[in-house]
Amino acid sequence: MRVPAGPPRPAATRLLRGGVFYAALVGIALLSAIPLIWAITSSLRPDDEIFRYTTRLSWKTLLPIGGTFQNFREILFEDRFARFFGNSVFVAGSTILLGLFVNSLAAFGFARFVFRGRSCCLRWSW
Amino acid sequence: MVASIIWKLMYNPDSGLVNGLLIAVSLPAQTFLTSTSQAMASVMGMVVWKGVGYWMVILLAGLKDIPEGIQEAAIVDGAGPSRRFFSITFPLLSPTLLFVVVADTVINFLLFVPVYVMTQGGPSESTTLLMFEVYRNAFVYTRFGYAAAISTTLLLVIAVAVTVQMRFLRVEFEY
Repeated sequence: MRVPAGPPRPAATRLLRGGVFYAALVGIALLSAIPLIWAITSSLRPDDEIFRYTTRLSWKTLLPIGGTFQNFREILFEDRFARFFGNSVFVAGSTILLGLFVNSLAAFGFARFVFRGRSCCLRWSW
Repeated sequence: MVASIIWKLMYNPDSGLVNGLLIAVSLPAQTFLTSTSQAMASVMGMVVWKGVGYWMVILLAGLKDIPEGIQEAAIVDGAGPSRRFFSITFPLLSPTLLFVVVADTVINFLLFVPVYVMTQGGPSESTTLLMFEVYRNAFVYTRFGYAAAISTTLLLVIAVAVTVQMRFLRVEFEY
């Protein structure tokens, strides 16, 4: 959607202001992403390497240079990961199915039937 | 849970990434979770960071729900950006804002996992929230009655808070 032009500004000023604005936005976005990136990076490192670049920052802080897939090898092939993963899948799946069933029955009741006490559970205020 | 673990490691005063970043831009290193004055702020910082994605999506949906035609009509009528915000965007977003305010209030009154994972209520009770106190009394000190009393009081407090919010923030109009 176009916004009507205010008092016209020189093109250079506009470009600069836009650039600074977007630089700030990108900076905030990157800063917010750091914990996530660092966690993923750490999963690709041996345990004694995880804190190696955290106090003395270097370009390796968020990049798993000289990393290892050992952690993933362990969880995928050596550990009881499969068992726990199965548990999670079972819980997630059955919660979705049971929840959908029970909640849609409840919603149907509220939507289609008028009964005493109905409004006190539905109204946004009282 | 995962976020709490990551942030606990990042908040470590000696080896954490947050202090690394602060030092990199030549700011003094902080004590974060180990000091009574900064622990709660650190927990709150992590909770806010974690909540951004969820609440942003809901507010985004609310913003997308405002018909563009209204904004365009206001532009044609000569309304400036601030007038358009206060007369259109904000009022039409208020149902969404009410939901976010109410839901976020309830969720944060019931905050437990970050405290449990990151600080265990410490140092010297500076981050003990009610839900952590409930957990500790029920399952560490086995004072179930005491814990149940806190829970019940908390339930009442939340009910009052939510009622007040809905009373004052509710809007009734259709468009």
